[in-house]
Amino acid sequence: MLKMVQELLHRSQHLVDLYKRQQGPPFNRPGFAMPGLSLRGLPEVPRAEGNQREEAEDDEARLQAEHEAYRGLAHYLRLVLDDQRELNPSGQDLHQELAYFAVNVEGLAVNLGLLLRALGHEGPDGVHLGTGLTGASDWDKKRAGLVVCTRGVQWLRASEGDFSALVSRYN
Amino acid sequence: MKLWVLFGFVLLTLLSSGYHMAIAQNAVGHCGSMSTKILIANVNSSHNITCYFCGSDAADQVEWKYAGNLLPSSYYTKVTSSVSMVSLQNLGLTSREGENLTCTFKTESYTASVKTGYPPEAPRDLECVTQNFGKIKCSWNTGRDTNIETNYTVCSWLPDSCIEVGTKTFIERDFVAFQDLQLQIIAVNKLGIQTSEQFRKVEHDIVFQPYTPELLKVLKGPTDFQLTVEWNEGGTKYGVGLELIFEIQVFLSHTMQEVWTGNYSSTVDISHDKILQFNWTSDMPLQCTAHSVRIRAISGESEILFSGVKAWSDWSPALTIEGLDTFNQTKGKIYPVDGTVLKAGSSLTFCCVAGQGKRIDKLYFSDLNATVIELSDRSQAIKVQNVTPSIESGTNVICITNVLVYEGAVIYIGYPPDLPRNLSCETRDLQTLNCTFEPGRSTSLVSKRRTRYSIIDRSSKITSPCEEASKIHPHYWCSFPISNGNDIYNLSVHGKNPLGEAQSHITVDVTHVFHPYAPHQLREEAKILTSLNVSWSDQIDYTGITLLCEMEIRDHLGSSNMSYNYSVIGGLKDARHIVTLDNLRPNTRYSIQARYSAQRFWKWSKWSNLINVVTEQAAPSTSLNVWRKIMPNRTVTIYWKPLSDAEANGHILSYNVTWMKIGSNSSTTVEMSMSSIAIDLDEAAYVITVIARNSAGTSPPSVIRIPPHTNDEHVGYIKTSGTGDGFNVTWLRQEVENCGYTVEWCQNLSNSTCNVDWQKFPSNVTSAIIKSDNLQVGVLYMLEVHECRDGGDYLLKRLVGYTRELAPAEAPNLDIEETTSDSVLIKWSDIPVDKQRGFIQGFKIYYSKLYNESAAFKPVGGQKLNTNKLLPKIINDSATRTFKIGGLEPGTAYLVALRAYTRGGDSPRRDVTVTTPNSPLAVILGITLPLVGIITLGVILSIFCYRKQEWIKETFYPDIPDPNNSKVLQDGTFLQGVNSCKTLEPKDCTPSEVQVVEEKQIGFEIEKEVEVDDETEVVPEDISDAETQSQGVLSYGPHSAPAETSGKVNPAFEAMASPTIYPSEVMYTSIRGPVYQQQEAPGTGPGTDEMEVIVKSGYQPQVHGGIAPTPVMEQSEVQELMPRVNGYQPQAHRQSWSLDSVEFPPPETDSIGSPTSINSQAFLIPERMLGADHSLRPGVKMWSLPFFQNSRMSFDSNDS
Repeated sequence: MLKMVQELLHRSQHLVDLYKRQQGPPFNRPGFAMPGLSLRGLPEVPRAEGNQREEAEDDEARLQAEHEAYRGLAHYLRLVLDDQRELNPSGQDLHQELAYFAVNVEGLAVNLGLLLRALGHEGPDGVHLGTGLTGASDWDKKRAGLVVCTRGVQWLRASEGDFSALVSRYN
Repeated sequence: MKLWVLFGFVLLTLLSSGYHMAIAQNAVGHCGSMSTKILIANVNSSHNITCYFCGSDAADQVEWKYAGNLLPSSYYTKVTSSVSMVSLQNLGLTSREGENLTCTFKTESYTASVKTGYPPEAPRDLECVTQNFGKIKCSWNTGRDTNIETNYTVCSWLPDSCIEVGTKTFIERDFVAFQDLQLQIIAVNKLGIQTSEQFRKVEHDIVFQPYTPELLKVLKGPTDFQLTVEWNEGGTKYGVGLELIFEIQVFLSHTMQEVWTGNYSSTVDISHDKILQFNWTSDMPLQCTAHSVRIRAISGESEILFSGVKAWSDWSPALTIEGLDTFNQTKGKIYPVDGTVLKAGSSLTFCCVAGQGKRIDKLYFSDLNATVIELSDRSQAIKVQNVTPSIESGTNVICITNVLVYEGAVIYIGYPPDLPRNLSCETRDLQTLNCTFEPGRSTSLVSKRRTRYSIIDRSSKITSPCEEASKIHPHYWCSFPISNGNDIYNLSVHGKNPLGEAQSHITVDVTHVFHPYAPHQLREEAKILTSLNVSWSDQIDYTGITLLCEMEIRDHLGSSNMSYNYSVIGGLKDARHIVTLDNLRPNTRYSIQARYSAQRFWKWSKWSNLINVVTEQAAPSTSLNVWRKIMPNRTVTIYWKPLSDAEANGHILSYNVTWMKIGSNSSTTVEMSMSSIAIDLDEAAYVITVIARNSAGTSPPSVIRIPPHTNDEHVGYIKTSGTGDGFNVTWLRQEVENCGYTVEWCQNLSNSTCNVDWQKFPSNVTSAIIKSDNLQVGVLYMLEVHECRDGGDYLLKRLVGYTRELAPAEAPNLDIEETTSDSVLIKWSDIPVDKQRGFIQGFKIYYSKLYNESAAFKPVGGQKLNTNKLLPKIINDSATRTFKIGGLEPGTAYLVALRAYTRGGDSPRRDVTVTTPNSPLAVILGITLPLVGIITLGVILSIFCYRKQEWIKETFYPDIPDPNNSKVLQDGTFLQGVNSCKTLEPKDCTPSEVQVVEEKQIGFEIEKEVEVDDETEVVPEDISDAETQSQGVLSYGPHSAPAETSGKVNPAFEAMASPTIYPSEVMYTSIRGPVYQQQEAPGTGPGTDEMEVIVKSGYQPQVHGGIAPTPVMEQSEVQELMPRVNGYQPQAHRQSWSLDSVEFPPPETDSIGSPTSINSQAFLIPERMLGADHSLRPGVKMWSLPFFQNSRMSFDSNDS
């Protein structure tokens, strides 16, 4: 999974750049960012809380959070893909990249679920994911897409650190 | 009576001077009253008013008040005990109602009213206005405000009457067309009367000013940009129907900035009040901020109908439509709203309205840097001129509020559909019309905003959607069903998007646009000799339709393309059609394909599949082209040219060659596959027959006769010139009855591998141009012309030549055959024939002195030309192989070059270098003359030396006096009290030389430094010289420790301590310096090694001959010597060196007397001079030695 995360992380910046480029100014300005948008089922990456908790408990909690995040991320990536097919019908590169990430992030979520089950955790209680951006304005779709992509990068970066630590700890 | 007259006069005078007094009823002054109840007076006039009290002594205690203010007692006086009088001086302008003047005594109080003003001015500026052409209202300017009531009387003399209008400043009268109006106005008030001039108003003086329109409502919609204004025309107010122009003005309510003003014309309907409406489209969404509207009217009638003055009505009260910035919503919003589609090229205003309590920080429209317009405290806008089309995902408008909330909208900017272009329709199956078109300019709108096209039958109104271009269909296309019995269709392609629509029309006759599918599954059915049956099928059901089928037949050589057209009746799908193709060539590969068109041609279908068919073989159709070559030994080689495919009609399996001696019945036949055969024949005549055979038969025989043996060797070769790509050959007919001519050519007849080629000509031809693809330029060909006779072919002519001559590919080999002192004989060899590439015409010879390789050749003619324009010695004889170059200089090297040349150019150059030998006389003179010169010089010198031997001896080697013969030594007193070693007293040696002998070791050290600093200076040799020759060369060892720090001095300096030895008498040698630097560095104390150096270096002036210098001294001895040394010190007193100069100054007198080492640039300065007299230390005028710079600091510190 670490390699998978690293591979996705490697490509994720390209996804963000491609996404921004396709949305036009000011999205494509260097360093353009949008203040947070709340997306149900796709939480923000929690800040590091230090080593106050026990490591094992900390690891499991983080894995659970990542599992939920990737489930939400896969869901929203598909919505963004649908939106972009409408907004940028000829942006085939972006469509392919979004589809690639949606599939792989979903695979990541499945693998994390299996891992958590092996650790004795029950599956998620059917977290209700957002119904997407149906009915939202085109502006909201563009903005939500950027938030989804950038938040995906943040989660992947967090997972890379977590997985690396786990690998080094248990190997 | 006179008194009354006088009173009246005074009264009129007062009135005329502006005074007016209203006389109170109690003018005489009864108790309990005032002299005046109401005073109306001119401004600035003065008046006395008396108050009559009933009580006694009231005048002493009275209080006067004016306008509520108590008057000072100086204003009033006591008339009697009960009467008081106040004096009002220079009355100011009172209010219109007047001021109260009150006198009070206890319970008695009386009041009078005081009012001031002005007399009227004459009315002026009469203006008559009508609003309905029924009544006319004339008003005038009253001039200055009188402040008191002024009444007006208007007099007219048509009719002659006056009307009092009271205080009104206008009069209304009926409007009578074409009638002049004459008025005079009289103004009267209590202070005066004035009469105006007589006014006369004709029709064109009358002003028509419509009534102020009644603005009813202002509405937004149906879009965010549209505003609807409604107002009441008020037609019933007007007496006549007339044309009115309404001016509508829209302005921003907050800033009162006018946004738009426009006119609306209407013909007034006097029967009822018509409600008028006007729609205005804003370039800014109306939600951005509040907009206000007002309206006014003016007559639109022409001057013919009304010649008076037209005036605008007053503006109506404004109505306002509020923007979103006045609402209390919390969320900001951008207008136009998200998803709005706008037309490119227009000018638009985008705005952002912040939520309540927020304000806008930034507003962006895409990446445009536009100026922000402040609409209100919550609303900002950007005006964009000529908006450009959006990218596919739209143009973003972003608004950032002060609480970092991003509001945005995506706007789509594009174009309405362009007219569909190149619209054309056709049918492939007579059931459906397929129409294609190009959409024209891109609209830049995609997805749900894209242009949707449909095709409409204008007759039946049937509509069918169109599809966009794709990889499969390169054009936009629509299909439309064809109904039976209807051949003519009026179709329209209609495109629509949110910005508009467009359509193109076409009328289609189905029968004219039938474009059938290509014939299907074309295949070979059967082939018989030169005929072929092919068949195909129809892709769809073309039953009953007449089609034109074009069959194209190409042979594989491309030599013939045939095309046949067939008219066929279409059948059911997959039904086959068959045709026979005739007149084909045997054994030929054909490519066949077919295509369809309608009988009424519209366009061809695509080609069907291509089939390749080979027809059957047949016997060769023509005889072989045969030639022979007869060698002198009667070996006859028979050649024949292979048949072409068209002649062979099949694969040639073999050739049969049969020869038969004439007069003999026997023949010999050989079958072979080659195209030539060599036969050894005897000298008799022969007949040779050659035939070709394939699987279908044999060719007609080719016969060639071999004549009896003849001697053709006497026919010589004649040179001929080619034509560039061939030869022009002519010959003379020798036998009238001949059977033709044959021209044969070969690259080289003597070569057995020569490829013989030939060409035959009929008997009437006597010249021919021989051309062949095989002929090459620069190759020697030999040609023969033969005449065909009954007995065979006879040689007529032999030629040799090139089709085109080229320059030789190789230079001839050049050798020097013979060389003399003034000539060279050169010789060269032939160029191989295959390298000649043309007939050698001659040779060109060049030669030149071999100054250097780049020197130009000097031609034989003596002219010196550059290489490119040489005039060589040209030998026009191709047989010449030698040439003698004369007139050369002896003992000189020459470069000789040779070229061969043809008509095609010069060969490469062959060079050879040759040196002419010297002449014997020159050699003898060269040896003898120097020898004679030397001998002569020796003899002269010998004579000179002999004659001047005494002078030479005195000059160069005088006798050395023997000390033993000295008188001094012979005097015994000299030796008394003196050490035995004293042979010379230094005091007596005034001009003395100091010899400083330096040991080798120090020399080595110096040498080591020298190797680093200056390799050109060979120090060891100098030292060696000094050591061996004991010459007076001062070799100073500068690396002796500085005196200041070590106190060690080279013992050799001891001798210099003598005061009789002057520095100027020391020999100076070269100046060197750098060696000091290291040795004077701090820390280089008096080490052992250094001491050894000092000891070994031992400078020893030779003047102290009695004190023999010790080449090697022990250290202790040196140390003993050190304190006593007062000799010269190196100029290591750095404090005295100028460090600024980097150059050596010229020697000065002060230091010229200083000795120095031969390896040093420092002069030796006597220590005593340095110590005792500082003035003698080298100052700024001293040598400037940069190399002391590094050690300066340490010595500076010592000085300090």
